[in-house]
Amino acid sequence: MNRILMGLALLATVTAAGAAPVADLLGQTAADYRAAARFPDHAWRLTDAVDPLLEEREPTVQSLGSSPRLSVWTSGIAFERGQSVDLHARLADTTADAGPLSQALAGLTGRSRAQAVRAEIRNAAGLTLAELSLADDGRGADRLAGDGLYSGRWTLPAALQPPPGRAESLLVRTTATLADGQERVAVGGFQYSHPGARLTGRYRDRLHEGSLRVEAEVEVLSPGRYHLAGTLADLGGLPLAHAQAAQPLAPGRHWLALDYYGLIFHELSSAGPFRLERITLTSATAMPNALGPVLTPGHRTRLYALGQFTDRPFGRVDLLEAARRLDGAR
Amino acid sequence: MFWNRCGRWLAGVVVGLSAWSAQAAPCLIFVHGKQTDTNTFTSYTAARNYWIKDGGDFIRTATKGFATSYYVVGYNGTNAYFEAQAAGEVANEIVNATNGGADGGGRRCAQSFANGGTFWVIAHSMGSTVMDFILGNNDSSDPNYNYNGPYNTVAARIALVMAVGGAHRGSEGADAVCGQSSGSCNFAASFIQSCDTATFYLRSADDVQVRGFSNAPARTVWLTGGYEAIFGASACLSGEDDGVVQYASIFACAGSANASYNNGNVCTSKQESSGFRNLDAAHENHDDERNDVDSDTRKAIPGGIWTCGGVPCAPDTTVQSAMTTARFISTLY
Repeated sequence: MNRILMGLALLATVTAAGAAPVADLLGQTAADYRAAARFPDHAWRLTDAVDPLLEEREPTVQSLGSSPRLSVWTSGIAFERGQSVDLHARLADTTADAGPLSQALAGLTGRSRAQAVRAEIRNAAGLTLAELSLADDGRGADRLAGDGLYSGRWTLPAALQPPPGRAESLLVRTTATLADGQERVAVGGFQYSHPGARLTGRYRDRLHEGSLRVEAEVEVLSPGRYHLAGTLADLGGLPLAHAQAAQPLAPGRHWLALDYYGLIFHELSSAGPFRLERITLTSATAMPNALGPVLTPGHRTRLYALGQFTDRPFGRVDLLEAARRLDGAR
Repeated sequence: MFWNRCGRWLAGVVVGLSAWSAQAAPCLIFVHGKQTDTNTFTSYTAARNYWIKDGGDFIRTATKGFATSYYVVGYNGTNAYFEAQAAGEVANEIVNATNGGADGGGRRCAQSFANGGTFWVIAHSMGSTVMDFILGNNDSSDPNYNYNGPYNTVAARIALVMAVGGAHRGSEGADAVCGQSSGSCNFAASFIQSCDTATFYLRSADDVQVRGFSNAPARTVWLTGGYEAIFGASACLSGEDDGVVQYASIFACAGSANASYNNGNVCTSKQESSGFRNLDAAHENHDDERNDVDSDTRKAIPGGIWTCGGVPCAPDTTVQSAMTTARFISTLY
């Protein structure tokens, strides 16, 4: 009956060009679920050579307005007490912001000059915390005078530090005054983070129930929930797998474990050695989470035999059940 | 007499088939977008009316004239997407729907999850951001697991999400409002109005984006959205947009949330390593997307769902000349 109804619906919607929605949306979805069910929710294989830690933590450009369009960015996403955040802005006749910051900067064209560029830092309540001028004078945060990039630097004051384990999102409103007096405004932001724990720099690895367990030592200063995420790469730095773990921790030193599921290594036809390419510890007691730095520990795992890793699909019950129901509805 | 009997028999068949169809079809759960007040949280009528304009009713059309069962969620659309009256409320209501409970208007899904029901979430605008947070924090290893509601149960019970004009990467409209932008960038859109808590966390800055606080969605999020400009507002947004949300966000793109995309090149590389898939694009603005008044052109996009002659349609191909998003969704089940 469902198929009949769907067929009638499709018939009614087909255009003269003969276009139709793919008939098996449910089948595609079910296939996705079956593929994902091979791995646990806490570890997955990276097939696109993209490290999610890098992808999510590389600052991007925020742009707004008509030409010349004002674009702004910061030197990072999260900062801690005493650290300095560099604020950057540019006016450009074209938009070249298709990718992350590194790509966007490489594609800059048609830069315009401004009479003045100033930035205002506000919190979520709308309170102004700081105001500063951005300059194109080659000093401080500005690398090259006269290149059309305006920069300024703000050091995060201790008085504004959030409580341990917490973070505050800060908005940066940047205004550029053009030669004719018109203004362009763009809005970016960053996080003032006060992580409640840190990675000590000690790592170790071993086999655990057919998976590769990489452990990181954590020093907890403030009780709370902590989330650890790490990317495993080959020795050439190619991202291969990602794993995460989270749990409440009391003050003191603890080992947190990242379990890279064994089937990943069978699909890669490799048992290592691998490198723990990047890792980060997040204080996840409250939102917004207090982001910790992304570190490159360089820990190299021991050499294992492929046969020591499980080659069995994990078989996530919830995904397989969802796929079964979708198949039943087709 | 004969025709009377035939009529009654046919009516019986139709009613029977409709009931059978309602049981076999998914229950549609509707999650609205950003609000300028708390009305949709406190009033079922307000939540229901979110989907209606000038007699056009998204829910009526998407449910094929109410032949398919549905449930309308109402949450506090002035809160940040992760707060208890947003993500927490939505999660609890979805679980209620899958338990067979009634929404504020007495509507309930034809079959509970325990009785074999399937459930699709239809989310508009900020509703999609809320769903990203819930479905990306459904496992105990996720950073914000069950932060303020039964996210794990939601993920286990829903089949998929249809995200319409979703603010997955924030909204440049929110940037403009929070930046008190002037001139043509001054957004009059009724969706935003002020830089309240919801708007503050819907900006396109990296530090507030949902992807930084969640993992890949545990269920597939199918993406569609509009490319009809809103005069003035769209001039400030990057690439194609629906007047409030830019394509990079509607289609959950990796890279910059301000990247310029159109129907020919919108991304297939997503903000997470899995869980997002493209459907198509419509000549609708942000308002049109959530009601049934603008029956307009639909376009194929890269990685999208439309086929032409048995193969995927070339991006930017016009695949329909007059079809609302509500009608489109009704053809998918």
